[in-house]
Amino acid sequence: MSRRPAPRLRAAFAVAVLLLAGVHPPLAAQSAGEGSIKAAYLIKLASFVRWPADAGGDTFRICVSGRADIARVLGRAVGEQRVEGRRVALVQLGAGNPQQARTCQILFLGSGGEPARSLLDASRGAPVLTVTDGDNGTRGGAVEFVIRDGRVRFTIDRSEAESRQLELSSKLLDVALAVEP
Amino acid sequence: MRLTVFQRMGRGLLERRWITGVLALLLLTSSLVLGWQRERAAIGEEARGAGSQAELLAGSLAGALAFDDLVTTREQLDALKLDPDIQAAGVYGADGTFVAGFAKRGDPLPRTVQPHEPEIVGRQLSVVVPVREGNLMLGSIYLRTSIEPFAERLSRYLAIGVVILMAALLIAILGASNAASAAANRRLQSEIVAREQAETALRHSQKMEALGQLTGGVAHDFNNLLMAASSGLELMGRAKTDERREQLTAGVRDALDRGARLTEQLLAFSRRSPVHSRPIAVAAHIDKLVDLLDHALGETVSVRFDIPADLWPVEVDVSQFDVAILNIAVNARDAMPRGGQICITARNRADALDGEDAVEIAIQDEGLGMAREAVERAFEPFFTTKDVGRGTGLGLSQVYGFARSAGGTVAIASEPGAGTTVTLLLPRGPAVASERADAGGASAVARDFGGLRILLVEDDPDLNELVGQMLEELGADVLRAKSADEGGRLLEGATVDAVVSDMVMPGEMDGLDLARRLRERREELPIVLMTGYSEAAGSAAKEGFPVLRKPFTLDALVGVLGTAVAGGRG
Repeated sequence: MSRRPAPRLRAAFAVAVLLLAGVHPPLAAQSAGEGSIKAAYLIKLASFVRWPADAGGDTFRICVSGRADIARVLGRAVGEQRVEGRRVALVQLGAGNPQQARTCQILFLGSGGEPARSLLDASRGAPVLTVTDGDNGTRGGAVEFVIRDGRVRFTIDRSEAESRQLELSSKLLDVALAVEP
Repeated sequence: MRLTVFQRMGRGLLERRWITGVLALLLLTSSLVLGWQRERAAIGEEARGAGSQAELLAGSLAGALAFDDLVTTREQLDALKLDPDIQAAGVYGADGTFVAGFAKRGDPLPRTVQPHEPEIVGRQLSVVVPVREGNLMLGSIYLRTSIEPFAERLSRYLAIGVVILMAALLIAILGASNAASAAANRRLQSEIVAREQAETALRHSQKMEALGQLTGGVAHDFNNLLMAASSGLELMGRAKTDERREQLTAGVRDALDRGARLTEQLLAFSRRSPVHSRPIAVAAHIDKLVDLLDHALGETVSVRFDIPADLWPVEVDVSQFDVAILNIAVNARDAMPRGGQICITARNRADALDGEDAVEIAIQDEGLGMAREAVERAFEPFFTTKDVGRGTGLGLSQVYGFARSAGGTVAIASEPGAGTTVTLLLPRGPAVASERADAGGASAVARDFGGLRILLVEDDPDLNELVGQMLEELGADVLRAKSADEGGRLLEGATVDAVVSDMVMPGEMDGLDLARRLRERREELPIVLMTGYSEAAGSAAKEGFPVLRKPFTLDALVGVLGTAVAGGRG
């Protein structure tokens, strides 16, 4: 009954402060910056998803398209990261070679439009965890970031993940805002 | 078998006081050790419980911590609040900073944490576990639970502790009392054995004393009668007339009769048997004691008897009875240093002994009498008022023992200067079996054995010869056997008209066995048994066989055998 009021109040207060400061609330809601949070989440997502055994070889590729700021943060961070013992590499994808999307393990589409759609189409059926950014107009990923109450949250599309032979941890489903079957 | 070994071992263990003490101590120590181990196990269990609860929380918070889902984190923590044992729980980020948590009471949550194993501080148990997902270090969970206070845990063991303490106490007490009673039992048993030995020795020494009292008189008496016999024989050689010769023969005969009676008495004393009771007629028996008493008591003391003819019989051990009468009489004599009269009276007392008929025998003297204290102690062994060397103090205790074993009582009535009366009260016994047939020649006595064929069984060759001659003198045809077995064989092939047999003989059968067997075969066959032992005579008389007491005269032989033959013929 009274479980939620405290965070809700605190979030409302934060939004009010940001409105007064004249900043666009969703982007400035989290102190670390929306971009770096999404970058951190992309790395963390790897721990809650299981790929088919033959996917990717000895390098774990995180591909970013359309958000140079996130790519930059990731580029600094991936050097120290390991996913299931594999080196993590950052790949920036443009519209030039959409087939490259099939070699990614995680594909983040940061902005909408044609390039994003062609990358999504090119990777269709491959074991790639597609992450889209609903607030920036990309949709249809297995994981989709949304801003809710000034915080970065996400929804999950299970059928998209299953069509790519990906297993999502129940812990991930537990913290998702919504799970589409 | 094994059981008895264990039982013996168990008894041996329990009889030692220190062993039960050690057992009790062992019980206490082992229960303390067990309790301590139980306590350790319980705390370990609690620590493991807290650890796994923290792990569980870490697992369910991994997603929320990874993606900063404060709402889910708080929900999970709120669920923990309901557990009364959990005092505090905290969630910390990967960099160790506090994310969320609560502390019910006691210390607040720590600012930062490092993962560590469960540790106990005071009444609290705290644990920090990391939150991981795959390789990803996501943060830490801090959990603090309360432990039941030591006093409360102790109070749970209190009841069983009290029971164990009581059990240990009980073991110690039982062991001590058992050891004490076992020791007492051992003492008692060894005392019983010692007392039995002492009693046996006492009876023996009583007999020896009586024998000693007798010996002087008897030796003197024997000397006299030997003197009488030898001088009689000597005179017979010089006797001029038949009349004088017969007179002398009668004198020698008389002396020998007295000797035979004395021997009989001595035999009775010398037998070292415990109690062998048989019914006796008191009057007839005391008659036999007269000579003994006369000799034992000396010349200054006279004995008067007042015994009615219709006195009931009593069942007693004859030799004990004789010794008892003699002991009382000797005491009476010693109480009269200047001589006097001892009066032995007997009478029937109906219902006098616990409602049963009894025979009272009172022996009264006119001596010094005894003080009250002496009367009270008179029956105690070794109590004597006599000078050192004159009495053992065993006499009256023998009388007491005899009276008790015969089922009767004995009492002393005495006053200083007024003489002493010792009164024996003996239970009435069954009728007396006739031991000795009347030798006086009653109506149904055959005196002529002419033409009779008689089997004589006697192992002593001299006696065999002598008795055989006696029978032949009487005109009988004598068939001789040296043992009961031989006698039995002789009868297989020959018919006899009567049997005269010794009783105690070597061989498979004794005289009594032979007599029984013959009676089975021919009920009317006259059988006479001869013996010198009163015991054997008693058992023969009990079975209805006529008995000739050795030594016997020709007249006695004629009397007993004649009665038997006449009875058989009739």
